[in-house]
Amino acid sequence: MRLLLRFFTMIIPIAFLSASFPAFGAEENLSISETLFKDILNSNELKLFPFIPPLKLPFGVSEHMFMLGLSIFLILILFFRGVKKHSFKPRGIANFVEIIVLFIRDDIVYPVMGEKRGRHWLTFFLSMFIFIFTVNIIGLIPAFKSATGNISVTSAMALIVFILTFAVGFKELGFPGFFKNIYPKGAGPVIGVFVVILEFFGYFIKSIVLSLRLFANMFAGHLAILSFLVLMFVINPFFGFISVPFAVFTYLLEVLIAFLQAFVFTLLSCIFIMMASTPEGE
Amino acid sequence: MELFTLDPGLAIWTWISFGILFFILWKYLLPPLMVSMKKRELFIAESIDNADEIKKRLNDIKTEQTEIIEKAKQEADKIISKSREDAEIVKKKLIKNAEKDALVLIAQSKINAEEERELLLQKLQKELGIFICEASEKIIGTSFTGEMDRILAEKMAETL
Repeated sequence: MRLLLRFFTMIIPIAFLSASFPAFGAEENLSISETLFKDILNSNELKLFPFIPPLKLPFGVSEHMFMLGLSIFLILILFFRGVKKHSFKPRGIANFVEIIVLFIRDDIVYPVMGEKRGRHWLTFFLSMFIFIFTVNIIGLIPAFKSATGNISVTSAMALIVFILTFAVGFKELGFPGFFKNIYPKGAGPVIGVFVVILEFFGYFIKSIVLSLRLFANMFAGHLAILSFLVLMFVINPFFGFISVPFAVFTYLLEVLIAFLQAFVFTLLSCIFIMMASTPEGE
Repeated sequence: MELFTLDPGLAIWTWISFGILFFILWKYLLPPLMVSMKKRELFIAESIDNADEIKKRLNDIKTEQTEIIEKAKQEADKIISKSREDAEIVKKKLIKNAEKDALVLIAQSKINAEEERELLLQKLQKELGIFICEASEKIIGTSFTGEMDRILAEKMAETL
């Protein structure tokens, strides 16, 4: 535990500072806010190691694309090893993989969708959770970036949920059945149509909120950590005695948020899809 | 602002990445894992069922055991009470026999005592007769002999 604390209190701030050190130099003539955003926003240069020139990514691949690819690679390695080593009494990686699967199955999918429907959707929501969680966590490794701190990534994920909400709704209830389901009972045609339009926008807004929530949480977390560290340059280097512990605390909080946001995104997606495909009153 | 600018390339890349992950998990990785987990779940459920059955059997055996013990106790009680009754009968019989024997012994003893008394009495008479004769001989200064002795002795004995 003490060793872990030492790691967090020493390595991470040093890595952050080292990574951002050249940016605070005069050669780029950037303001502090610009430097902060530059460190979080997407770029075509991969800067993994401090004091080593950034690597220009080929074929228009951006840093966030690289992080997404890396996440998929790590997830697949984890699952391949987990499935390969899985036995009657799983241990290590196999046990970890099983815990994730059971968590998604028993705490998200089955309670919301029921066992029969949930069995078909388990892989999708498991993929969604593990994908978002890994992308979130990767961003917490010093000098790496979180792709979920980019609104394009979160919007793409939310768009999948938005399309699926309608696709599953139409499939389960039929095209007229879907709209009949959101049409208020006993309402006149004018109010009824108005409510249907509102409901339709509701689905759209829900997806936007889903996307914004994940993006804002991840982006703000990284920004908060960097902001605490930047205070040393803005106020006084000795201010590091206060700002570094705060940054470390925020970093630890970010680990929790990374998990929580993946969980919330998956759970809400599951609820939205289920709600759209279940007849009123059931 | 760059922060809120949508990058279609990155969005498509996100879909591709997610699609690849979903496909590999769905096609190759999750089915064997789910089968393995299902097998274990079935095994656990079966073990729980077996445990329940064993528990039920154990309860049955316990009930049976209690019944057997109860039955054995009842039988033992029966045997003990019968033994007590038998013992009482034997005891009564023995006492009766003993009393009978005692009565016989008492009667025999009485007869024996009577016989003894008769014998002693006869002996005493004889001794007394001899003593009287000897005393009379001393008084009269002569000895009784022959026929006279015999007559005197007899008369003495008769008077006594």
